[in-house]
Amino acid sequence: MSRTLWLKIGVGLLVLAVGVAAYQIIAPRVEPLPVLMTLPGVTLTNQDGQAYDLSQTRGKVVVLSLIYTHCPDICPLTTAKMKQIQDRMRGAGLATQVQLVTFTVDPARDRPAVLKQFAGLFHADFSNWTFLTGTSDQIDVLIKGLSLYVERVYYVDNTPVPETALTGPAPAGPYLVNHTDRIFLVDRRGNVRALTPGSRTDVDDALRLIQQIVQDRKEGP
Amino acid sequence: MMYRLLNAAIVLVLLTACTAPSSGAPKIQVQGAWARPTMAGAMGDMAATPAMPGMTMAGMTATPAMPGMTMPGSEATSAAYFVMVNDGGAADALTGASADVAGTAELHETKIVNDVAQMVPVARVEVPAHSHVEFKPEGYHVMLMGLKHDLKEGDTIKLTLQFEKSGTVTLDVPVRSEPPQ
Repeated sequence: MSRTLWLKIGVGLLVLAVGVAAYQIIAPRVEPLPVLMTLPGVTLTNQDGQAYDLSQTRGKVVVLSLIYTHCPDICPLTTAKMKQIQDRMRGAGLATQVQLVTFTVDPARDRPAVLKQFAGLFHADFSNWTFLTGTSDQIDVLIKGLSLYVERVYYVDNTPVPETALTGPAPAGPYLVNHTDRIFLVDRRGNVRALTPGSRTDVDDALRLIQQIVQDRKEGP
Repeated sequence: MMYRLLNAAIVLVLLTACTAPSSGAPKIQVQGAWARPTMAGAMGDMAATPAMPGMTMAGMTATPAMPGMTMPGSEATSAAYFVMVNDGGAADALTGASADVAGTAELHETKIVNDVAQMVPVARVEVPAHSHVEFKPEGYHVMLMGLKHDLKEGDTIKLTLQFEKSGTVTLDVPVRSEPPQ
C-alpha cells in the first residue's frame, strides 16, 4: 500500500475522531430519568361510575394530577395545564401513547357526576383522559403510595382549623383541603419518572419530559 | 383688624391644603373583576350516581337519603378576582367582602409551601397610595363559600368589598373560566 493511501486513511480517522468528539461536546445530553416511585395498583371509579383499575394504564405513559372540585384557586389552574398537555400531545401525534389521569383527594364530595361536570368546564376529552374517585380507603392508597400531603381544613367560628387539630367532631360546614401541588409523569411500567409543580407546571418542560419517557423504549413492557 | 383677617385667611388656606382630596385621601377603583364557575349541586345529583360498595363518608355524621338533599359542607365554592387601583395620596385597605350568592366570603391568600398548596385567611390587604394590588389565581382571592346556587359562565354576581377608609364598593362580577383580557 502506498504511503499516500496510509496518509489518507490517517487523515480520515483523525477527522472522524474530531467529529465524534465535537458531537459529544455539542449534542444535547439527555440524562436518563430516575425511578422515583411506583404508581400503586388500585381499582377506582371513573367519571361515568365505571370501575377503573390503575394497572390498566400499563403500556401507556401516564400524566397524573390530583384535584378536589371545591378547590377554587389551584385545581382549576392544574386542570387547565392538563388540558394544554392533552392538546399538545394530540398535536404531536402521541394521543394514543399517553393517558391523562386526574383523581380527587376529596372523594366524599367528588362523586363521578361531579367530576364529569368539573371535567366539562375544561373541555376534557375523555378518549385519553380519565377522572377518578373512589372510597376514602381507595384514595388513601394513592395518597400514601405517591407520598402526598392531604389535609382537610374545617371552619370553626370562622377560623380555619386543620382536621388534626380539631378537639371535637368535624363541623358540618364547608371545608377546604390542603394538598400537594404536583403532576406525576409515569412510564409504561408504572414507574414515576418525573414530577412537575402542579398548577405552576411549565407545559413546554412537561412535554419535553413526556416525550423523553415516551421515547425510552427500554422501560416499555 | 387687618391682622385678624390675615390670620383667618392663613388658617383657611392651611385647612384647605390639609383636606385637599387629591393629596391626602385614598381614591379606590376596582377593575377587571371575575369569578370562577362552580359544580352543579355538589351532592344534589347523588341519586343519579351509581352506588359504590364500601364507600364511606369520612367526617360526615349523616348520609343524604333523599334525592336532591344536599350534604352539609357540600355547597359549591368559588373565588373572585379583581384589581384594586388607588389613585389617591393615602393608603387604604381591603378588610372584608360579602356576596349575594355566598353564605361566607373571606379574603384568602394561596400559599405553596414545600409543594403543598394551602389557603390562608388574611384580615386586611393594604392598597398603598398611587398603587394597585391584584387579586389573581395563586395569590389573593375572595373565597366564596356556601353558595346558594351554582355559578355558570355568563352569570353575574354582586360582590361588596369593605375598605377601611373608602367604605363599601359593590361590583357586578361576571362568572367566567378565564380572566377578562
